[in-house]
Amino acid sequence: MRTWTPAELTEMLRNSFSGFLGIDPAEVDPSKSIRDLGMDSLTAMELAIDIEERLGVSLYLDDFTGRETLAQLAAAFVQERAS
Amino acid sequence: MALMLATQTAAHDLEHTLGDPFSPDAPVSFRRLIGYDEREESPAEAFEILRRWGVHAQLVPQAWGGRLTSFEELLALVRVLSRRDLVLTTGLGSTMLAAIPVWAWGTDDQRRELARLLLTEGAFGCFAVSERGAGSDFQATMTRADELNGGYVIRGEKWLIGNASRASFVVALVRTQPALSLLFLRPDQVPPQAMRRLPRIHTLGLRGHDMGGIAFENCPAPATALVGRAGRGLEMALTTLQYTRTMIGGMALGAADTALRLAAGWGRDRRLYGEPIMAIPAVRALLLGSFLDILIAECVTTVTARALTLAPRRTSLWAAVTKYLVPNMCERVVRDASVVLSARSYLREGIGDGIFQKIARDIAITSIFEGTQLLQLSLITSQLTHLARAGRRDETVDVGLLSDLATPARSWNPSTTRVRVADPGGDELVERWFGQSAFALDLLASEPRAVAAVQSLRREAKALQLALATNALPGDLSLARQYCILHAAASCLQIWHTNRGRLSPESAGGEWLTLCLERLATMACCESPSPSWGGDGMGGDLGNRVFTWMLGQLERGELFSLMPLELAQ
Repeated sequence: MRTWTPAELTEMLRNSFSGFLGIDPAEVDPSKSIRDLGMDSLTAMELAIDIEERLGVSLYLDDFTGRETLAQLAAAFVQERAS
Repeated sequence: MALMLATQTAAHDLEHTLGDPFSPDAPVSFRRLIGYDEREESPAEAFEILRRWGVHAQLVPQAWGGRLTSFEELLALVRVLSRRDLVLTTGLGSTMLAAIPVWAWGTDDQRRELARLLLTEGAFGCFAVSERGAGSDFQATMTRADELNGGYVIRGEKWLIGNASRASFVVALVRTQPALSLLFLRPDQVPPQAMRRLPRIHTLGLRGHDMGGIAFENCPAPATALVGRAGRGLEMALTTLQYTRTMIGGMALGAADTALRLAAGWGRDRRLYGEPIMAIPAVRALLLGSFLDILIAECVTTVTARALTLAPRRTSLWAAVTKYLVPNMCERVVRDASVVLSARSYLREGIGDGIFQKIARDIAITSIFEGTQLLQLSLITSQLTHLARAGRRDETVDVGLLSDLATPARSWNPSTTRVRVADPGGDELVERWFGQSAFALDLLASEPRAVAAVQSLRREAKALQLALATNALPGDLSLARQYCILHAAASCLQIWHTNRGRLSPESAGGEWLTLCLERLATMACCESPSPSWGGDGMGGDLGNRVFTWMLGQLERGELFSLMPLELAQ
C-alpha cells in the first residue's frame, strides 16, 4: 500500500465523505466535528468500506474512536500505519 | 388442497415428516415438546428426526453439496418448524448464524470443513459475539486474539450465546490487529480447558435451548482460523445479521400461526351464553385482527427474504424493518390469542397439551435477540437520514420481480456476498407513497375504504418525507416506526398487485388488503392497534368475508397465509 501524507489523506477523506453523505465538499470543513457533519458509527463503517474499495486505504471503526475531525483522523491514521 | 409454490415443497415435506403436532402419536408432537420444556431439556429426539430428514443440508449452499437455495425457501421451512417449537429453530438458527460468514467470506478449506461438519455430523454451530459487558455494542468486545507463533492465542469470555455447550464449530468475534475479526474455531482441536463451556443460563422461554457461554483461556488457534479479512469482523457480523434477522420474521410467524390456530379453534368450539364465543363481536375482532397481522407480517418477511438474493443492498434497511415489525405484530397475535383463550391461556395443560403458554414465553425472544427493537429503530433512523441526504446510489430494484411469488427468488451465491452495513442505496417500496399519485389506487378505486386507507397512509408518508428533507428526525425513533408501517403497507400492496392474477379467489379480491391497509393506517396515526370497526367488531362485509376465509384455512388445516400450505393433520 502506498503511503500518504496527512494533507493528501485529509483531502481524499473530504471528497469521499462529502460524496458519501451527499453534501457539497465545500461544506466539509476538515477541522469541524465529523459527528456534527452527520456521521454516526454506521455511516463511519460504510464510509470506511467505500474508501477501501475506491482508494485501497483500510480504515476501521476503531480509527474513528476519539478522533473529532477529519484532519485528526488522517493524521492519526498516517502516524499509526507508519509506526 | 391449496396450490403449492415451488419454494414451499421442502417445507411441505418437512411438515408431513414431523406429523400433526396436536396428535400425541406424531413423530414430533406438542405433548412431547412440552415434556422437554418442563424438564428444561433439549428436545434431542426431535433434533434427531430433523437430522435424519436432512435439515442440515438446508443450511449448506448447493455449491458446497447442500440444498440451500434461496432464503425464501428457507423462510418456508423456518415457518413450519417454528409453528411447532421455537427451540428447534433457535438451535438450527444459531448454527446458520455461525455458518453464514464462513459461506460468505471464508476460505474454500473452511467452507469444505463446514460442509462436512453439517452434512455428515449434523453439527451445531455457535456465533460467539456477545459478552457480559458488550451486548449490541460490539466495539466494547474484550475477547482478544493476539498473534503468536504464526497463529493466535485467544483470551476472554463470550456469554449469552446459543449452542454454547454443544457446538462443534464456533465463529467468534475477537479483538485483533488492526480491529475486530472473526475466527472459525473447532473446540475439539484445542485442549479442553482452553475453550471451557460455561454453565447453562436459565431463561424465561426457550427452556430447552442450549444458552450459555465459552471462556477462552490461552486458547490456541491457527492463522487459518481467520474468516475473511482481518479487522473486518464487525462489518461481517453486522451483514450476517441481515440474513438471520429476516429469518426471525419466519420464527415469529410460525409461533403466531399456532397461537391463532389455538385461539380460532377455541373461538369456534367454546360455547358460552348459548353460542360459540366467536359470535361475540370483540372476540371476532381479535381473531380477524390476528389473521390480518399474520398476513401483513408475511408480506413484509417474504419481500425481505426474496430481497436477500434479488436486492441484497436494500436489506441493511429492510431486514431491520422486518426484525422490528414482524416480531411486534406476531407478539400482538399471541397477546390477542391469550385474550380469546382467556383462562385456558394460563394453563400448562389442556388445549394443545399446554403449548400456548410455552409459545407466549418463547416468542418473547424474537423481539430481543439479534438486536432489540430499539436497536432496529436506531439502525433504520441512521439509514433513513443517510438515504435522505445522499439520495439514490444504486440501480433501481425490479419490485415486480421482487414480489412475484410464482418466480422463486434467485439462489444464494455466497461468494458474491458483499459487506453492507448501512447504505441501502435506495428504497423502492416506501417511495411508492411519495409519488404524485398513489400506487395501484386505480385498482382499488371501487372500494372506498381502501381509498381512504391509502389516502391516510399518504398523509403519514408526506409528513415523514418532510421530516427527512429537513433532517428533523426525533430522537424518540417514532418516525422510524412510521417508516416500518409504510414499508409494510407498500409490501402488502405490492404482493397483491403482482400476484392477484394467480392467488386464490379469497385473496385475489383484495378484501384482506383493504383491511390490512386500514389496520396499518390506524397504527400509523394512533398508538392503538385496534381499528374502529364499528359495533359488529368485524369491519362490515369485508371483514366477514376475510373472517370466513380464515376459518376455512383453519378447517382445511392450512398455514394461515396468502399462499396456504397444507399442514399435517
